[in-house]
Amino acid sequence: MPVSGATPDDQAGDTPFVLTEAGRNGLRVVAANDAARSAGVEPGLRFGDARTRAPELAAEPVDRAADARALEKLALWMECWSPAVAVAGGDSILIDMTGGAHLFGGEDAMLDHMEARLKRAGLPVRLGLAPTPGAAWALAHEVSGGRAGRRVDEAGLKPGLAGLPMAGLRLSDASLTLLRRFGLTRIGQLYGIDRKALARRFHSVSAADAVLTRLDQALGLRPEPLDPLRAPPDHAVRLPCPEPLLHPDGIRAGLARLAPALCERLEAHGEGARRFRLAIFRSDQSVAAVTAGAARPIHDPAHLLTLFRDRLDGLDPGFGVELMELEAARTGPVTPQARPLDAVLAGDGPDTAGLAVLADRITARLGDRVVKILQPVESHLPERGEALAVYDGELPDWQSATPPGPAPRPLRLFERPESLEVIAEIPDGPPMRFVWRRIVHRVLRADGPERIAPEWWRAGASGPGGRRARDYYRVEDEEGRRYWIFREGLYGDGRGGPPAWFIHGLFA
Amino acid sequence: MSLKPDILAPVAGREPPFPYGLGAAGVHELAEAGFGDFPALTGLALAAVRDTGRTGGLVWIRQAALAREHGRLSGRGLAGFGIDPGRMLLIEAKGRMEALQAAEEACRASGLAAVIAELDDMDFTASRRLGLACETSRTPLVLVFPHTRSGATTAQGRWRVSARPSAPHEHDARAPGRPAWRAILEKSRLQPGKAGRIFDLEYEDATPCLRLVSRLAARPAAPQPRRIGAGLAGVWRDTG
Repeated sequence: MPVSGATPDDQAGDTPFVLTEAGRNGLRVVAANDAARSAGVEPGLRFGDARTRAPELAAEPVDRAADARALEKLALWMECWSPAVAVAGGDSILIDMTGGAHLFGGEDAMLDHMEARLKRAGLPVRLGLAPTPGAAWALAHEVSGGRAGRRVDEAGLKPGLAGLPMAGLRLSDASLTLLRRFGLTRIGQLYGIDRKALARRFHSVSAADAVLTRLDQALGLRPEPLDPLRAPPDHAVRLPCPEPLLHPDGIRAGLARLAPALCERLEAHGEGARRFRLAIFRSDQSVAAVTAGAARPIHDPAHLLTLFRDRLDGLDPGFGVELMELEAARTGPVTPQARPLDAVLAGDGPDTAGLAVLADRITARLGDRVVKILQPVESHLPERGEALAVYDGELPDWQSATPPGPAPRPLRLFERPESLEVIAEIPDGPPMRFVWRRIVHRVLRADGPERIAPEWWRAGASGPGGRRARDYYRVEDEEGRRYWIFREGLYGDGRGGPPAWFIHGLFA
Repeated sequence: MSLKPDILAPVAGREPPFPYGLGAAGVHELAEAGFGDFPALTGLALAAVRDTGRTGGLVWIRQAALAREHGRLSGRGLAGFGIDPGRMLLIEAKGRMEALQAAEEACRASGLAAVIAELDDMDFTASRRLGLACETSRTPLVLVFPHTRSGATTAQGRWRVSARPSAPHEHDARAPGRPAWRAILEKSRLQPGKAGRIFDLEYEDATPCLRLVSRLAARPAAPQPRRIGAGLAGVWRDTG
């Protein structure tokens, strides 16, 4: 049962005021307030003509991007009525209130409540409530609509729409002009018309289809799913505040009440969640939200509160918090684990549950994506052979990873190999000395080469070593520091110029 | 604030053998002797932690600037060093403050084998905080610093570590041998009398363990150093 609310195109005030936009034929009025309308200035009029009708007219250029942002912000705040809220067109918001009206004391009471709430915020609105989004839109956009006409039910849908203007069907201007030429100005006039005959009047099949689709959608003969701004959460609990909360401590206390309620619900479903979002709906029609993540699904209120502990400081209560909502997403089964009291008794293997808790605590303090693991990858190239992945509760399995071979690997690896200047004794041998970071190192001992061929089967293999084989050497300089350096390519391998030298890692 | 004596003063009759609790309990500092000795520190920290035989997760905290300078830990390198990379969490801290926060959180957790943190520097207050965090959970903490590290600390000890020319390889005289380091015990709370002593260490790949070699062996031309000591506790032995 969608509710459609058309946001104000009229501003409070006595001076006529319009928004203008530059078109092909000069400035045109795109929106006018009540004072301007009463002076005969309607949207679509040329600005010059509007000036003649209302000499004291004030005007400003329209900023559609800012309008869209403001509408989206308002739509997000409207989630305090229902989780499924969508923005429709440039001036409307669709709310799916199915099964929710009784929470506000019935449909009429709900509409009154919405209207009063938005009026108080200085946002004059027109509301329409109908079983289909199309009908609700038509009701809300009926300019002369009074209180009686703003709500239709299932039975009154067809007669209720019959008297509304054709523009309520969300048609293109060309289609509206054509229909008006046929003398069709009210939606009801389309009911009895022969559809094939109507289609023949239009220039294209798609234009005729659009009219009939919109009509069918308004009457509920074709489905029109809502495209909500945010996906509805898996689980959510809400805490309305009788008096607006003004202090951050109030938010903290509210969260302390919401967390057990949400965890109880999660536990009843036998699952936990890894992503949580706390949203506060402020009294100035704005929403602020913080999210927190857990490494593995949890449903422990105390753990949940730790996740948010350092993040609540970012939530500004502003002019007061009217409603708090805690959502859970990315749900999954919780694996209960019985651990021995002492880690020493646990035997081999780390305490994965304990590590996940620790990772969550660090993530809560430092931010997302800071806790990483080393993930083995099946590749011979050292920089591809392992990946730094974000820890998500699972430790990588290195026991079954293919060992790279008998040659030792350095303890520290550079993300990208660094270029070297090298003097080698023979073209294909290890270097005698090399310059790395402007310091000359004399090589006393060298071991190698270990040849690593390029991965020709991979598309986009580029950068150092993309196409040429590498010969890796383990070298030690006179101070005893051990380096892992490689020569990319060989002399005369036909893959580019002379070979280049790089340093890739440092041995302990 | 009352300072508890048991972490600040040496306890008679409970002297741990070399390396005096490094990686086994409490806070220990490792610092570079000169720029470029960071891999040696990494190796010594990991070898010390592994030799304690503690099971459980390992937490490695790194500061972004140091990781750029000295590279990141390599999983296959760790595996070759006898440490399963699958039990290690890497934490990427942007600055010193974040690294210290992460280290404190990690030290509070129990059940970890050890926490190793790379930091560019630390003040006395921070070291005190970390000491207190470790004291309750009994998680060992090893701090790895660049060569600029100096000043007061509440850590149990501070080691200056540098790379040392390795002994020749057994099968190939031209190849680098086993990793070798020189560690100088700069400060020690548990063994104040041993401060200033020099330990020459060598890492054994065949049966991963550290061993102390005679200081004579530090020279490249020296003969193959003999394995000193046997048994569990004999892995570390003070001959210097």
